[in-house]
Amino acid sequence: MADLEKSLLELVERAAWDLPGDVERALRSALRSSEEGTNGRAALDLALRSVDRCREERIPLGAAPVALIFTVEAPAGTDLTPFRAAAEVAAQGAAESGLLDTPATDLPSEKPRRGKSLGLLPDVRFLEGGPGVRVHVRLVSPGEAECVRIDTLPGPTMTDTPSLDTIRALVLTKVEELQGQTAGPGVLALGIGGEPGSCLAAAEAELLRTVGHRSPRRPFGQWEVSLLEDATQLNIGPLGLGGSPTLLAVHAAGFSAPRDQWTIGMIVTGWNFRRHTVQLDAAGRIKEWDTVTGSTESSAPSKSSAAKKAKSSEPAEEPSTEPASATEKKSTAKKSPGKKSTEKKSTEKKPTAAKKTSTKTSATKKAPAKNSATKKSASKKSASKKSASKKSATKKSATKKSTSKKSTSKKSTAK
Amino acid sequence: MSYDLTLPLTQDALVELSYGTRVSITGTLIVGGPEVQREIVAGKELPEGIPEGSILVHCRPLLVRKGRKWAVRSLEPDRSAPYESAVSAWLARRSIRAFLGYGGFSTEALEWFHRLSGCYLEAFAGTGPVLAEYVTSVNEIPFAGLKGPDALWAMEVEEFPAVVTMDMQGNSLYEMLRSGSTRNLTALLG
Repeated sequence: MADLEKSLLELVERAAWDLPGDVERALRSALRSSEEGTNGRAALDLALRSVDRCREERIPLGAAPVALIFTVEAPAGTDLTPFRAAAEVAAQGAAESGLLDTPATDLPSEKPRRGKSLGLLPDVRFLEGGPGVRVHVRLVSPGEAECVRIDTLPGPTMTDTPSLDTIRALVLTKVEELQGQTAGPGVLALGIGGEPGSCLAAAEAELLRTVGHRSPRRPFGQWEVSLLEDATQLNIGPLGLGGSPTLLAVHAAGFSAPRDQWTIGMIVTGWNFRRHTVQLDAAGRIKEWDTVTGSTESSAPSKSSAAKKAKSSEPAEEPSTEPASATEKKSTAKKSPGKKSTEKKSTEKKPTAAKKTSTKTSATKKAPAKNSATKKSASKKSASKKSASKKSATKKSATKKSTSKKSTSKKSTAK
Repeated sequence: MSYDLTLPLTQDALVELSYGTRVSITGTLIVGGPEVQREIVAGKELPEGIPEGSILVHCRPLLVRKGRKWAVRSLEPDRSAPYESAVSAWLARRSIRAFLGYGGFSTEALEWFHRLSGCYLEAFAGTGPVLAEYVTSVNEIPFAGLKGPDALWAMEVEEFPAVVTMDMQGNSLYEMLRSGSTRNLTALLG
């Protein structure tokens, strides 16, 4: 039991600071294809710098999660009783280590929890699989899951059976509605069926699939690709700042439902889509990490500068479009959590000492930032809106120095 | 390319900040999370010592002690929508003139920004550890007995990156992009 608790804790801790390799590859691909000078590209660039930093320093990546979901894949007949207790201990341990510092309220006392107490019970789910036992964990970010009931929306009547076209329309409408709230681009997972709980569970299972791998089930494979292309055309962009991509991947699964009751369970993750997988031995110890990291290194990430120098400048590989099942067996090359080969670091530099120029002002105009806008008439609209707003602005000299004001403000800042 | 923005904000600087503009902020950011918000909404008097023209960052920072000082490990911005109820209180006081988080406020806030001279800047969600690299010093502002990550903080930053998404002229990048995406959606769905 102690070994299992330790393994699950290690799994949670790693998921907190180490973005999975398939997600990172998709983000790097998105960065390569994004338009230069746009806010969306700047967001992706900073995101990837965060990925590197968190991996080096083992700092939590992104906001504290609102839930932990463990999925245990094991052959039929495996005694799964210890997993729930071990998961709770692991979650508490992660909170105490500061990786999951979430202020929470206890129910039913309604008293706030203070200090390093997670206050969240992990969700533990089971899938029949094997051979051996694999455990996945996902750190759920705020605001992720939605459920759309088709019979409550305008569209097909209750006597019609929804088609993938109908579902596509509803999904795109929802993605458009959620823009800017999900810290994208992330993965859109869909479970389509008759009941909200099982639809969301199906969507959750789809998040275990390698990013970009198509569903092997017809007709979802091609449908996922076209839905992703449609989402890109919405031009919502990274963090809702415009441009592309809007999503990294679409993963869908579906099953039967009564004619008059269809539900779509949707989960839209943020770009810091945190999940990891381990294979356990009979004693509950980690046998190997099943994360698709693409790393060839065997050592754990270290803080040493040597590790930084070891970073390759080779581009990360493109995500595969090979069909795979939702609970695919990932590459099982024996790797410890290693530092991946990464792309050359972005051209945006770390902050250095503030540039002292004689013309430094409170708002020095270097060059207008290129605002990523829809590649249609909206871009013209924004340009005219901008020039209109600039005309209405009071034109004052831009050479007013503020260094004296700055030093005054520094003194007045409370310590 | 971006604008250098030195704090505290002047009225002229606010006028120049139009939506969609990327900025590099140098100066003192005021950082406060949900507990600070709760105290403000509950009617607690706003703290003294915040210079007029400051930016309030919606964040509960990840901090570590280094001897007698604090250092920040992660400055992960919060979604700003839950903080909206205190916006007019801050702006009326004139100490805080801009807000920084992610996701913006509702279109109602544009009215306040226009009337009371303010704006909203978007930080890049999920990039807290890298944003912390731009912080050069950290000092606690005594307020309502709050401590640690829940407290109010003054953080010196250099060239801290953000994007102006709601300006004092009443423009919102979110609304502009949304109208574009709605048009695109209509075109896609025929």
